[in-house]
Amino acid sequence: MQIRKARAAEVTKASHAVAGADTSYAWMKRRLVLLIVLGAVLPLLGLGWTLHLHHTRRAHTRLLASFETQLDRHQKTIELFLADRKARLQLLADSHDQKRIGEPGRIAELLAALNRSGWSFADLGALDATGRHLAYAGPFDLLERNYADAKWFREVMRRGVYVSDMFRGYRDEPHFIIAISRPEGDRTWILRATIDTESFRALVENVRMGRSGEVFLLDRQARYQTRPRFGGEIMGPSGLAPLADRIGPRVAIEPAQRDENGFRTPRRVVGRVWLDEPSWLLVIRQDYDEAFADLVHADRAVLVYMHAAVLIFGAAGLLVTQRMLAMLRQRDRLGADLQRQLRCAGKMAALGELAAGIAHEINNPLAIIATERQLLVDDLERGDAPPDRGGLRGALDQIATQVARCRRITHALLDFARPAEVAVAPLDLNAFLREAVTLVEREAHASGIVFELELAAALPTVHADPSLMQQVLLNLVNNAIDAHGGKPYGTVTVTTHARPERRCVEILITDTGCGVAPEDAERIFEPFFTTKRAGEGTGLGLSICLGIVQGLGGDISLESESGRGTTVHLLLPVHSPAPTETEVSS
Amino acid sequence: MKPIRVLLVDDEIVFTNNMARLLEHRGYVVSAVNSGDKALDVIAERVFDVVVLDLKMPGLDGLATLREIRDTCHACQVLILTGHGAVDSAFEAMRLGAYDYLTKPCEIAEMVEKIEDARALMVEMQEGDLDERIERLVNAPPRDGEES
Repeated sequence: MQIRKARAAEVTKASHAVAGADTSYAWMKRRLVLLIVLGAVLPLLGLGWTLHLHHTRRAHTRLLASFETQLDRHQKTIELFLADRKARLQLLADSHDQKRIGEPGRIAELLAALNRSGWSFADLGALDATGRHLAYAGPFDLLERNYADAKWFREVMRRGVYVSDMFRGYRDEPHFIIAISRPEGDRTWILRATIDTESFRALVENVRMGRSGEVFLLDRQARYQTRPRFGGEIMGPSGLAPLADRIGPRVAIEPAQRDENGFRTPRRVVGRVWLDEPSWLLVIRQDYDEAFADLVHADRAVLVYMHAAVLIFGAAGLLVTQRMLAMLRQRDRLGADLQRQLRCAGKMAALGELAAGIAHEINNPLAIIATERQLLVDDLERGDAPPDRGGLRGALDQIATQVARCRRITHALLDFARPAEVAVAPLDLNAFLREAVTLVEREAHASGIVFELELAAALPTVHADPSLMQQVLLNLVNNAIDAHGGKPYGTVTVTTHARPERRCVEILITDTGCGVAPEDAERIFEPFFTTKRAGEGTGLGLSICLGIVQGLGGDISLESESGRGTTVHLLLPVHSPAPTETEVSS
Repeated sequence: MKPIRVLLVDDEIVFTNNMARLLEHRGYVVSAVNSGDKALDVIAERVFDVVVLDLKMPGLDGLATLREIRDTCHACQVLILTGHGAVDSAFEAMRLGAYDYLTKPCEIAEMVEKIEDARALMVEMQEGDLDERIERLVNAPPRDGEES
């Protein structure tokens, strides 16, 4: 029975070992992959992204700065243009009086002179304080028109100099004018010029950028003052709300959005700045993707390379991990094979020892039978005195006794190999331990070993097979006695206490014997491992104990200090599970 | 010739009793004890020519007893009797000074033969001892005072 059980336990252990190895490989793989991810992939990603973000931010700032420079320059250009035109008109007004400007042909001469250095004035007129034309030169027939009610007229009378927004006026075409009022004694007259819309527009749109860039001006009501490049008319609505003075950053990036018609406008870079006079908003805008094309391209390349590198690193790491694990697995397999062969060899040796022990048990009764026979033969051969009936009877009885002894041994051997019925029953562990100790106490006492029982009161009941438990306890207690190895004194302490946190009862068997060397402690539960001398131990005891206790859902562990003694910890669950398959079949 | 004095040491009481009777039938003077300790006690009191010693005994076992015997009694011969299948410990015993071994169960004839061997060996040793003594006497230098 014990041998079978040991084998079953060993098979279970081996399959546990295989399953354990598989999970440990999986665990190892997870660890290695985690290490690669943490140690290589993440830092690489981090570094890549940091560099990328840093570079992007710098390039971004630089591009926005250059956009702003462009905005500045353009603002200056337009303001300079308007200032120059105002100055020229101011000069004309200052150098003429009302009489002189009204001289026939004079105004046409002046218009020609103004446009000599470049076409920019569409017409020129002089008006008196009542809004009537004193003189007019230009393509339109406006001489008879009265401007007293025109907005610009009122404004210039009030301010002295006025640049109008775009308006249609009598000519019914979008245009804007510059007007200068000229006080002359108690009278005031006004010089007014229309800026040529096309040449102004050419000036404004001078900075057209790329395929998506556009430049335009807006008045305070957010109406176009120049025709935008993509859709929209002069004086048409831009779709924006009326503008406030404060307009936020000069250069900004507007997110992509959908307008009310469902057209999607892409993300754009927009530069905005108020002009001095008139108060127009200069807007330069360009699609972000175009403005930042180089950056976007470089970004994409960097990101692609970086992620490719990460992928390659990751893949290489995984490959190396797989390879390493394969090598490890192969090495483990070789190791396990070797272990198995060793165990097999050890088992054969142990079986030899077992056979020797059995032979000894059988040979003793046989020797007695042989001597009884020889005594009878002696009596017969001497012949002088025939053997008395009593002596003959005694000899035959003795032979029967010895035969019975042999039979006991062979039956015990058969029991040994017969499957055992496991009968799990509730067990009062303390009473059980007292009984088990009583069995060995007398023999132990002869060799000077004292037993001490420290049994916890009110110990929960455990469920176990009493005969198997007895086997386990006797085995452990005998080991504790044997550990004293001829020392004439010693103590074996048996302690019990409940371990409610593990739902277990713990039995401690502590001896003051020779202890277990660390290298032996690792192997002590292996079947056929023994530190006893040849013929004294089969090496099956502890492995059978472990098998039985694990079958009950418990565990045995060992704590030892060489030369000082050993403590065996035996854990038994309070609610034992049903006996496992191996336990029943063994 | 003086009868050979044999001491049987074995924990099987029936076996030692029977074997003692068998050996007595064959003209030996036999004592039987059932433990190593008793064997040492008896050896201390009386002289034996041959000790038949079982290896596996509770208490002081065969090998330990053999060591003690070798320390205290140089003259007697020790014959190992073992029921153990493995002869390793028998060989170990012979290294320690036993002159031969027998495995149980054995024929009485075999036992007698070994005992006779032991006696022959003993006689040889004693004669060797005697020769040596005679030689020493013969070769001894003449005593100074004899001639003068």
